[in-house]
Amino acid sequence: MDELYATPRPRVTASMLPKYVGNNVTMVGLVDSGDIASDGNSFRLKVDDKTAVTVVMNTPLNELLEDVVEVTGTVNNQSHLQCITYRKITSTVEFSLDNYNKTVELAHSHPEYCTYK
Amino acid sequence: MFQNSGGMQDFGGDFGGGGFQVGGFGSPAVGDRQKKIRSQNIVPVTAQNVSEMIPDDSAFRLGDNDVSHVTLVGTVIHSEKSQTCTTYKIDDTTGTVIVKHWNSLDSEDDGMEGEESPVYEQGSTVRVFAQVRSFQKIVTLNALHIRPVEDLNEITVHMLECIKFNMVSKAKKNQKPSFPNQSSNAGFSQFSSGGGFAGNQMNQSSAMNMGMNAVQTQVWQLIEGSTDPGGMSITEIRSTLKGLNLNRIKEALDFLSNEGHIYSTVDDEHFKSTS
Repeated sequence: MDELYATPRPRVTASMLPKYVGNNVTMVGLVDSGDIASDGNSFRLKVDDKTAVTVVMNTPLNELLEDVVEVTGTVNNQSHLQCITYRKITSTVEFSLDNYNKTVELAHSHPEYCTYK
Repeated sequence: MFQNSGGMQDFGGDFGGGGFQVGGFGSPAVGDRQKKIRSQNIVPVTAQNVSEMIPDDSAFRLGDNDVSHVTLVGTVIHSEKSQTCTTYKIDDTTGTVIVKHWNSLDSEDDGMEGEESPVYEQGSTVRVFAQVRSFQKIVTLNALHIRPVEDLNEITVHMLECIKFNMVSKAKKNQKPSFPNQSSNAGFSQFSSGGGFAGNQMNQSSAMNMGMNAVQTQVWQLIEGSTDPGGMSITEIRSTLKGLNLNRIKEALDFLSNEGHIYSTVDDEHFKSTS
């Protein structure tokens, strides 16, 4: 697990997945219990109103995922996310996925403002 | 959000009388007058920014900014508690940072043991306020205050604040007055040293954006413009701003003194501006 944290895992939106094939990324989205495959090996992560990304697990899910989840994984060439780790986001105030996506897009469109080099 | 963080008094003399401006983007007025002064801002940073910091004497440089205190939002991926401190490894997807949280000295007294003990477990998201330190060329943070993040929109907000701070400091460097709609008055006070903004204009636009309505702005500008050491009295304000009735003026004065823009001097009827 430590190797995972050795390199950055940028936050991305669904449209950016093709650019990050083979890299580790972080995505946040909604999971509906109906979106989990019956064998628990994969689930669909709704990253915005229109798009869902398939997340493939190494070991089957042993818990029911719902609401907001943050997944860190590798992008494969079908633009699916090979999950390395995930965590549930529990927030006392409703987490705005819309604002989050806009922020991620902003950060990517202005990489010069994310670094001081 | 920053005003509710708590624990700020622990910082000791470093911050002078300034208090904290929203987002920590501007220096308090004192800092502006003295050229060579340690930065008194709390700079919002990402883990990547921390790794980009360059040690400079006893402080650190980030781009063109001197930083000594930072704030960071991330997830605890490792925690190690020792007798004197707890060391966390915090990750925010751009990188990881080592944060040391020293045990509070008060814990030696009875009844204060609970103070320093909350150890944040792996997987929890926290906000850290810390001083930047380097140890054998690795930049680490000495935490002054750590608290759990309850509203996860804070992650989004923190990302935006880091971008904004970066943008403002780069624009200031280029001396381009390219932020006419800048809502932070601190941004304007930085530009004024570069020239291009008449003092009055700056005050007006900054006051309008400080959340004051028209009455409050007028009253505040009047008080600010007064050179009388005893301050301006309510009767003077009334006679100058003939269009406003006494109640509205008093309401405005209450609001301004609650916000800290004015204070009473000789008696409850005389006020001076704090800036």
